[in-house]
Amino acid sequence: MTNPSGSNDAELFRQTLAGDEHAFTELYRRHQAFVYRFALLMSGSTTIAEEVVQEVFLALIRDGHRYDPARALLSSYLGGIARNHVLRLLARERNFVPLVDDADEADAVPPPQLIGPDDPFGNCARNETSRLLRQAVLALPARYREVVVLCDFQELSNADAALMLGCPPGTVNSRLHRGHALLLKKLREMGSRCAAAEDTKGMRCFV
Amino acid sequence: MNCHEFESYVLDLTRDRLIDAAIRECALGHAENCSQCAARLTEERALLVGIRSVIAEISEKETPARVETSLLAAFRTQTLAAATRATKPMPVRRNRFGWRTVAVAAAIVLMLSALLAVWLRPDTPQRQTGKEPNRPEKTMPAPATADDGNRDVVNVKDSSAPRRRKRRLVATNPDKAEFTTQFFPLMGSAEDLSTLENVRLVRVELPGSALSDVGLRVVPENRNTPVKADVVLGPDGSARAIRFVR
Repeated sequence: MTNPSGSNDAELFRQTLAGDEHAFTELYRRHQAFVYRFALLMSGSTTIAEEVVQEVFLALIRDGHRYDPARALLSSYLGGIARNHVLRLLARERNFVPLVDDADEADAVPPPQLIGPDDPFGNCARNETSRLLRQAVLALPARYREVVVLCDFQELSNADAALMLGCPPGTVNSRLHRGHALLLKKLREMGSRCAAAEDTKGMRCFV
Repeated sequence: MNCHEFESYVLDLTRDRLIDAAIRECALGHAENCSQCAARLTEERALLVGIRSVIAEISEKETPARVETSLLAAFRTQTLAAATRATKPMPVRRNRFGWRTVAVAAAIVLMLSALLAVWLRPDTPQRQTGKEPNRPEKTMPAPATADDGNRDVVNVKDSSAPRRRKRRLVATNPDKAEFTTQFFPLMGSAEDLSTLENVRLVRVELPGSALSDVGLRVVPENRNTPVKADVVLGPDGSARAIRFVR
């Protein structure tokens, strides 16, 4: 999350607090994509992602004075707010749409038979690979999912992710390893199910 | 390197992160000899390919423009509200007591003022006669007794004196057992004290030699002994008469 324009962010933030609309617009355009993608990968919902972006920047407008540029980068501050909103919205959504867990996965619609048990991504089409992977990420527990999203999909360093999540880098590292292990396990399970559904178990899947 | 150590480096190996060259060679050598770790490395590399495909897919995704529009509207509203707060005069701090409390306090103050005014108002002749219609007036100089004290003097000299003055005179003579002499006229005035108005009686202490000034006999050894006396002051403040108290 090392931002080469960090000092500019601080200046833009100061101007934003002073009521400069152009500075706020510039800040928004710099950071909205990061927040949106993080929320989208965490929730799998564009609606939630839009809501999170809106809430994050509304918080910046209303409570921006709480941010101390000397303590963290603005992107870390915004990411922390985004994370809290995502977790809150996911908890709210859970009341209406239950998440798929291991017991329910057997009844879930099996993904297309694209994955062989020995090579999850070897012969998968790019889009389908992407879709399956995102589905597997969404099935991760939140504490592993957020680390995988930040370190793998948002390409943050462990230290920056730790700063945003408010935990030690060692914790991020261990969660990342555990998250990868869970992710691969789920991808294997998906591949096994799709193979069984087509009665092609043990064979490679082809598009 | 064993499998456990290999696991701790597998993510760095697949992501081409900075890693010691010796460790890297050692880990790759271990993967060549260990089928499980080789499969693990392959899975991680495949996962990385998938992650990169997702990154490429979502790299074009951004927040819809309507969100920016609504946020800018919120920003303008917030800025306007802040500017309004900045230009608005400081709000007058509301009295934490309600107007009813203030009204009650004002009423109490008014009542106390009225009572004080009544208390300080000079007695009217009607009131005086109404209260003491048959009280006989005493004439001066009359021999005082221990029973009547200075109260007799007050009644004699000025029936229209303010009540406050009466209270002050009574207060100066709280001892009911004291004895007084008759009033001796001073300054050679032989006027009838009962005819004077607005006179005052003042308790003073004088040297014992003052007794000789009015013709009383003083023992030489008591000439410097202080004696109490009541002095009648006329309307002009001059002493008109004196009596001694024991």
